[in-house]
Amino acid sequence: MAQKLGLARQWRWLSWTLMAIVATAALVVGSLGDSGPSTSGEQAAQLAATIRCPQCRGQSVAESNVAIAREIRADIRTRIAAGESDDEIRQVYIDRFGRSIVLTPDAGGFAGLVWIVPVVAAALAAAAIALAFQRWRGESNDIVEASDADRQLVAKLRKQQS
Amino acid sequence: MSLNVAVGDAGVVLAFAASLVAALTLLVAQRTNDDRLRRTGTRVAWLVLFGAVISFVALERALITRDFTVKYVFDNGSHRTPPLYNFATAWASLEGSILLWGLVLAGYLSVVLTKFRNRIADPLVTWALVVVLAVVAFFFGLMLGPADPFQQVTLPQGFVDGPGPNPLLQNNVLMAVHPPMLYLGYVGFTVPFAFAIAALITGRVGEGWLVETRRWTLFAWGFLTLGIVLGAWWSYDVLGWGGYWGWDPVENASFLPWLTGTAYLHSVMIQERRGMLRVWNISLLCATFALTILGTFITRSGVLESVHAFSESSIGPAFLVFFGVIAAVAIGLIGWRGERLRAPGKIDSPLSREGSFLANNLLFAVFAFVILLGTVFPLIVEAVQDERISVGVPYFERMTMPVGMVMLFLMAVAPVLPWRKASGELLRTRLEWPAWAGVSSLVGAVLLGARGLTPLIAFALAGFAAGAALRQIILATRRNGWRGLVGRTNGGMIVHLGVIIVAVAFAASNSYLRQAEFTIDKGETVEFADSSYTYEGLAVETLAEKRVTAAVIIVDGQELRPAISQFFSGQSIGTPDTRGGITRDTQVALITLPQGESEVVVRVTTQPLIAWLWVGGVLMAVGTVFSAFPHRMHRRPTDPVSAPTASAVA
Amino acid sequence: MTAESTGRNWSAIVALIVGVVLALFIGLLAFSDTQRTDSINFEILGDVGPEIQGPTLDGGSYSLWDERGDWVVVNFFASWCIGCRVEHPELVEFTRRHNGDGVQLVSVMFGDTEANAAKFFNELGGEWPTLVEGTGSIAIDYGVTAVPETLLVSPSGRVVQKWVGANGVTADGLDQVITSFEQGAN
Repeated sequence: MAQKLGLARQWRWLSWTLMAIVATAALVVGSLGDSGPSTSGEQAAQLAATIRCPQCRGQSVAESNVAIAREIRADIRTRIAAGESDDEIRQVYIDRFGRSIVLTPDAGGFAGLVWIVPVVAAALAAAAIALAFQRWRGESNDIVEASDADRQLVAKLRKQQS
Repeated sequence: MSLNVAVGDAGVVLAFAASLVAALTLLVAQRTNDDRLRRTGTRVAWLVLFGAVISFVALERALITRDFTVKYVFDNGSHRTPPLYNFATAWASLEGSILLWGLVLAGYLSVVLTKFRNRIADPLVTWALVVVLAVVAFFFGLMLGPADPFQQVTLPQGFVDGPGPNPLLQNNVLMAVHPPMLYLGYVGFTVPFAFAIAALITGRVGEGWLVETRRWTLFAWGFLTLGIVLGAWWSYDVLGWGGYWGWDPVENASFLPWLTGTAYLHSVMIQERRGMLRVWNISLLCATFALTILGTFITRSGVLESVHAFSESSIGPAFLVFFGVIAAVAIGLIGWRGERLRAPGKIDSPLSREGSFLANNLLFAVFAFVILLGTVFPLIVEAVQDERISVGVPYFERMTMPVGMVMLFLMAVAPVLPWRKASGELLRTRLEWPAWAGVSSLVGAVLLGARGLTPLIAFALAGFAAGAALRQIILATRRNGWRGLVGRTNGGMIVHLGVIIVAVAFAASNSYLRQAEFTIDKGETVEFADSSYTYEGLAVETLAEKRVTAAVIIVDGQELRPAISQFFSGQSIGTPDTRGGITRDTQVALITLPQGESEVVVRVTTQPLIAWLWVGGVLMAVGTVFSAFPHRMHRRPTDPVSAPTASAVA
Repeated sequence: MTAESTGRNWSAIVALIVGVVLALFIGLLAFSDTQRTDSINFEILGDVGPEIQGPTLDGGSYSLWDERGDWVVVNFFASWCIGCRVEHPELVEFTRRHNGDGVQLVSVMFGDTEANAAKFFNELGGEWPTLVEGTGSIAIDYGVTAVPETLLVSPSGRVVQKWVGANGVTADGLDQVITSFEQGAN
């Protein structure tokens, strides 16, 4: 019996190891094949999704159909065809329309806080829970079940109450 | 004065007055412990429903008979609006939407009155009723002031017809369904909130108030889920760029209470089983309700701009004040009763169901925090630096993606964890098949041609989580037959499957979206993204309320008719057409009104697995219904002794 | 064994902190201005006006930088724009007053077609350089997001004033602003 259990355990370790190998291989194959935007049209579309339409309520120029959105989309296509980089194009628009034209806030300065604060919050939460578990584990290592005497005591008190 | 205005006003006044009188009566009855007075209070409370119904009927009557002397109809109604959309115009604009909220709330109040009619003597129930009545009074009070749908208007000379509702609200049948569903969800959270406050006030925080309201919360949560999914579907059908979720302030406002509500539904199981996490549960419940009010503020105050927002009005401050009051009351009560809420037990090990649910709470809390921060951050920057910035889709996608991954992972591991403590051995055994499911999904996706590290990890985790959920369901059905599908745990697993399917659809459609804009000449065919698009000609249709110019486009043999609808009020909106499929959706939209028939400019969007979003949503609804069933096998009552007492006398 | 015996009332402290944060949050929301969709941006003011170059409606061509030394009013319009129709007669009057005296007007079409622009001018009159090609990038260069928008370029080539909408774009209004800038420069 013990031998059978031992065998089952070995199989399980094998199974998990095999899983890890297959998964890693698949992920490597999968991420190597990814080349990013394939055509300039797609690059333009991706960039357009990060530029806000100045005349709309919160939509990007990729989504909206108003005149200025279409003009900006066309302008993006022209600039990409001319070889400008994503950042250069974004900077041109910031110069002309203000910082709010770009849908992602700055990475630095006060606005950069929007990127940092969530990460800090998550880290704090993880730390808090780790600490709590540590403290609890230190406090009682054994699982102490309520004994019959406990139950009798509580039953007696409840009867008294009702 | 118009009869509709008179009756409508009377209904609102009646509901408002009845709620105040009933609340006061119940409070006095509570103090004097007079049961007869309590009974009177509940009878008066029934008048709220009566008042709400007659005012809603009055508004609909005004709309249907096109009584333009009522300001709401003057602003939103028209002879030309089709009947269904005319009926739905009742909630197309601010005042009507508040009336709908009041009606749904009155309905919930009446259900509470009916369900608890034999227990009014219980102070807990009395206090809960008082809280609900206070919320009722707020909403009907709004209708007596800034949000009055029943103002009288004298028709100007030469008046012919009203403008009708916003064109976006009369172009798709979901207008008749999405808002009521959403409201059933939002408003439904009022009742569990009321019971939570009552429990805090009476100090009876450990008892059955929780079990009483569990089904309420599930009900409300189910409708909120349905409402959000329907909203996504509506956006997808109407907006024209294949988008269904834009991390828009209004969408986020509906998502936040969903997040805290979901966390609550999970965490409450720990309280039922082991009496722990009570502070979390009460906080989550109060937060859920508070967030529905905050969301309503955001949608109606104009503070944050959004495609979905109602037009600006003076109602914003009222909601903000109400939110402040709720927050103050909840925080005050929890702070006061905090020590009493604290449970004697401890979570023994992180590798246990309790531990994973605690981690779950934190995860959802962080998730909600990030979304709230991103949504209001432009306001913070403007206040501090006087500079305008935008926080849009790219931010939210980048921030929520890791959270989503961790959530999928937790969904995989938590169901197999036992209570109290688990060993690595146990995990390795129970998680083996789900892990293989995950790896198979990953390999399958790669073989199908999916590329990109992020979506692949998402697919792997989704397979993992689905495996764990299926394992649970299979084990349960093996044990109990068909009953293995119902009840809290198993219904919950079905909901999980729905969520997983939605997550996969989200990852796939976002990562492999292909979109392009091009011109097609008449009779010509364009190839894009493995599909062919042939433009055949225009089809113009003139209806009472709009003129629809559609382009007939053949997509892989199927005819699609994307159109531009010009409404009589002067506004034009696009009406895209979609070719759905199990694996892929293709959507075609007209960019501008075609000037002639010779050519047409279209935008084409193809995304994989869009249909899975709706399937997942339906599965979530089905799972919620199954969860509501009582699972007789597990009807173990809460153990009154959760830990040893210090002074046990042998 | 119970937690109640601990000295500090954690719940009250946490409640207080949460309460303060929420109070700040509510204050932020209370004092935030409602956002306007058509957020007017004045980024261009003070910058040198980008080149406006291209074929005009009457078949000729135009270049803004060639007109350096004159005051140039640049008007962005569209045939479907109601405000543009309202301000057009004023612009006609404006060109009538300034005929080669160092004050010019040039119109740039926005989001429209040449045929529509021609019809617009035929209907409402007026004859001055009107650009109809490549106007999308001109609009973006000037930070124009909707019509009508009018900008004033000084003789040194800098953009000194911007009007959004038809308000203030009258013959008198434009003259007044130009005069005040000329006086200010002296």
